Amino acid sequence: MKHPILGSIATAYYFLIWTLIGAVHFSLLYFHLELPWLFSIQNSVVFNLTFAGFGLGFWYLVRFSFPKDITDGKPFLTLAGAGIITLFIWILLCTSLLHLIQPNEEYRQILDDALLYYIISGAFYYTVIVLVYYLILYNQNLHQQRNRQLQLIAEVKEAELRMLKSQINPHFIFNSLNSINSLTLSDPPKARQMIINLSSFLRYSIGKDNKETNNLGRELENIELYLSIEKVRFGSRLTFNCNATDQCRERTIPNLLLQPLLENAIKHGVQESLDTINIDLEASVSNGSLWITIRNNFDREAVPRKGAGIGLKSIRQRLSLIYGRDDLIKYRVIEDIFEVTLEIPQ
Amino acid sequence: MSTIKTVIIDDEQLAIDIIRNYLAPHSDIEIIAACSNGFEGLKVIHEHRPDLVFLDIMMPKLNGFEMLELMEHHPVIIFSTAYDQYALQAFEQNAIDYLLKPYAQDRFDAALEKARKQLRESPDTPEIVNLIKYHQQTGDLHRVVVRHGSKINIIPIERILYLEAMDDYVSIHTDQGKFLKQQTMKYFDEHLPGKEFVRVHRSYILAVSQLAKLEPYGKDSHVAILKSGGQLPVSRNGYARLKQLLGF
Repeated sequence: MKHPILGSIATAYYFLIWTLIGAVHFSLLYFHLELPWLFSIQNSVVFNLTFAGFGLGFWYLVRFSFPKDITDGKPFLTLAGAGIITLFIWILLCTSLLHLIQPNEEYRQILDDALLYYIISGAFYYTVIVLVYYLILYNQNLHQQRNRQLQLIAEVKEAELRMLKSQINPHFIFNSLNSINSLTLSDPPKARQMIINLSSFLRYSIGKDNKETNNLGRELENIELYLSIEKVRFGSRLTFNCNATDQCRERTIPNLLLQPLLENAIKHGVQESLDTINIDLEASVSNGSLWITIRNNFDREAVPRKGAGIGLKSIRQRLSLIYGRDDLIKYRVIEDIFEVTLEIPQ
Repeated sequence: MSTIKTVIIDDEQLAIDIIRNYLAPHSDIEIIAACSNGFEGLKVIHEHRPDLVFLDIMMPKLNGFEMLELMEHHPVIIFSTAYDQYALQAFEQNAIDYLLKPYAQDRFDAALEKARKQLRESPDTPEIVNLIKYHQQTGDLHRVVVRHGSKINIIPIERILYLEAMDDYVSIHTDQGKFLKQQTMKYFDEHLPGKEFVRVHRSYILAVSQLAKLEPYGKDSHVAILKSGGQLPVSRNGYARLKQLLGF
């Protein structure tokens, strides 16, 4: 940590304050006690300049004794001890120095008489300087802590968002690979096409980790890719109809937001039913928001598998983290139709 | 040499195709049917009594494990699954082979060879019973499949009012009548969700939501009055379990 006084404009202020103190010191000796002006100047300069120098060094004392826990009393003992030693050295140093400059018994007597005054003023300076350093250090720590906290909150939010983003279902990948394996024997061109589609889908889904939003058009292309792969697997058991104007396609949407909804339609619709499942997607813009509705029929007799609702919950959480609203996803069941509506604020 | 009568059950046509393809070089295999769902599969197995079945796990309505529970005739089973840690664990404990999709011809041939060996040595396959048991220990119960004559009923556990022990069977009382299933009370006691079902008596498991009130009966037993009006005996232990769960 940098010294708070040295090497900045604070240095000038620091010495200005000491000059003022020195001036007061001088006036006290010269005007009040009516001592000779040379002696008064020498006395003031020696005592105050040395303490100003010591004062800069106190920073390191405070910094290294600064307690991790503010209620810990040990550093106060250390600082008090250091203060007594400093005072002793200061007074000894200054009186010897002054005596060297002007070896005069009378002056020496004056210095000895003023000992109490030096002790009190030295202790006062010491306390003030140490307290100021303490405050600076405390403030810096507080600031640092708050920054760290803010950073932590940001990181948690980011991690949450990352976690809520849909993970590609391994079932999907392995089943698709199995279909490709089968097609290499029965229909090689179709197998090639499916490999290309699967690669494009994976590239989009895996590569989009860092970007938070995308336009709907690009998102829908990815959905089409996903469903084209699922269509190869499920054949006539799945149909998809997408209705989105070019205007809608320009709008932004959190990336990979729709993917889990279509995956749900496959999982709870197609994979639980013997009949054809139709998935409809509609997008529109109104009231400044992008609205997306996905509908699919399902087998009402199929017993809901556990885990239903987790996908919807994470979409709600994700939207809530991004837009700060909890009401952006709604779903309902009308007879044998499951309908999800998303509102994406623009 | 007699042929091995084989049935393929998978809800994806391409998955069936690849098995057909892999089976083509094996002249001892006779594919008698390929089914795209569990109901059809059960019917074919019942009618044709195949020696060998290739069985997918994730299928609409009836999954592969539930089919095993309902089979009256037990062929050798080779499972095929895309990705399932639990199933994988289950299979590793058992002699029956499994194929992880996608699989290669030589892996497939190895599984087939195991099946041939099993058919030669013991046409009955007790391992399947172990497998079912194992699956039941790891699986979480949210529906019960019951065969009633040729009809298969899938009962969501929400429909169950209470279960009653009947010798080797358990009678499942639901809002749509009662069904018999060959299973133990212990099994249901362990696998029904503990917050919704309580073993109130050696012979009864009660769906807590069906309980209307409890009345003392005799010295230290009680009787449970159901919302439907029926009554079930509650033993001392059963009363303690109810007390703990409902916190009265």
